[in-house]
Amino acid sequence: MSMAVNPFEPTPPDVARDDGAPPDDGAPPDDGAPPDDAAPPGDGALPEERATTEEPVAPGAEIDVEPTHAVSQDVPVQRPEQPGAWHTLVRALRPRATRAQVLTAVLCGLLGFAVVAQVRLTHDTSLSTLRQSDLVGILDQATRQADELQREAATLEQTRQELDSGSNSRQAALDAATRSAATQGILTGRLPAEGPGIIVTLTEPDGSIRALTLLNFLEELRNSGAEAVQLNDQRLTASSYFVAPAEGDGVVVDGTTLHAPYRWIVIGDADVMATALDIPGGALASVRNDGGRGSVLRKPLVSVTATRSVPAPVNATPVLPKG
Amino acid sequence: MIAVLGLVIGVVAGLLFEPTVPVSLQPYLPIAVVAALDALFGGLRALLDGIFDDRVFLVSFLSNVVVAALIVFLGDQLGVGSQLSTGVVVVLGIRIFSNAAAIRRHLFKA
Repeated sequence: MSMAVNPFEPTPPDVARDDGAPPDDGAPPDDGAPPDDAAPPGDGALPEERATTEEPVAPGAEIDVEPTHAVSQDVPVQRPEQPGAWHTLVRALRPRATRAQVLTAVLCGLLGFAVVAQVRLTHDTSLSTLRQSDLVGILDQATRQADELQREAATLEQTRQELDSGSNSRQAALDAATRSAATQGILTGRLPAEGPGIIVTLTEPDGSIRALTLLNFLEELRNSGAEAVQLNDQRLTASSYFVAPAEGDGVVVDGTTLHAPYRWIVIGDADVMATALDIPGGALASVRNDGGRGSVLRKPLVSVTATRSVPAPVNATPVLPKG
Repeated sequence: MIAVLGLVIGVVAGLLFEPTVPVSLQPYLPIAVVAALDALFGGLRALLDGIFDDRVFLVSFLSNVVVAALIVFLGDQLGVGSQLSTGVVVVLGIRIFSNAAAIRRHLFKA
């Protein structure tokens, strides 16, 4: 089929046509389109079968065969479309040692060689085949990426340090809170305690010791630096009170009635407390005035084992320190 | 047939010899290959059009390759090598497609 025959055929752009079209100066297509003198126009209903039957004829006759019909029949015969295309293709595929065939084979060989080389190249090396500007771009990108990663690493490092110091300060706060809890546990009587101190035993051989005397005794102990005080089985704290019972003897301490002998276990500086209790007109003197007797025993280690539970404050709420 | 044989021989030779492409040619080889493919399709179409001419085919094959490589080289010198090679590939691709369409119309009438 030629392009002039069918006006409805979409005309390809001219640039696409210059490859095989002969120049207009009349150079005869000496072999590219041999005239079809073998196939009459009506023939060729089954061009594909012909293709399959004709191909096996090919072997052997390639180079040595003389180009018998590579003669100049100037005008390519226009053939009907149906058989023409396949026929032309088959005819072109038929091995003949014409100049065109050999030339095409050489060019095709070059192309195949180049394709393989290029494919191999593409597979083998990725960076070495790139041109300089691409390499610069890649390098740029890599550098930018590295910068970004470095920044991210720095940020993460900073975060890590913050978390570290945060946990450090949290640990410190926890330690301080623990210490404070221990101190306040002892002061409020929540925790048992031990340490150097004195044990004072008050007896009532000739009378009864008044609640006020016992309260003064406790105040004297506090004044002389007592840190934890236990009276019999009662832990004495800042909120402890002494009341004379409505009837009978003894004394009511924090709601519990205690009887003589009163046994004080006090943690603190033993010498200071013993001296303080013993001063003239002091605590022990008052006890004696009430008809009691007291003995002070200094010990390197005494144990205040009694505890009391501290009710949670109902009205008071803690105020966080500012800053 | 000889053309197909030549193609096969070229591929086999490429596989056997494992050619190393010179560094200076490396940017141009892919473009040249695409240009050669374009020429090949153009030749096939001309064959089906009945206007095949081996001289024209040879010249167009070589000139296609050279011109394509030249364009890319020029683009490299001008600093627009990658863009220009993309453009060349696009143009050649369009040509290959239109040629393939013409071949298809010839062979399948569709």
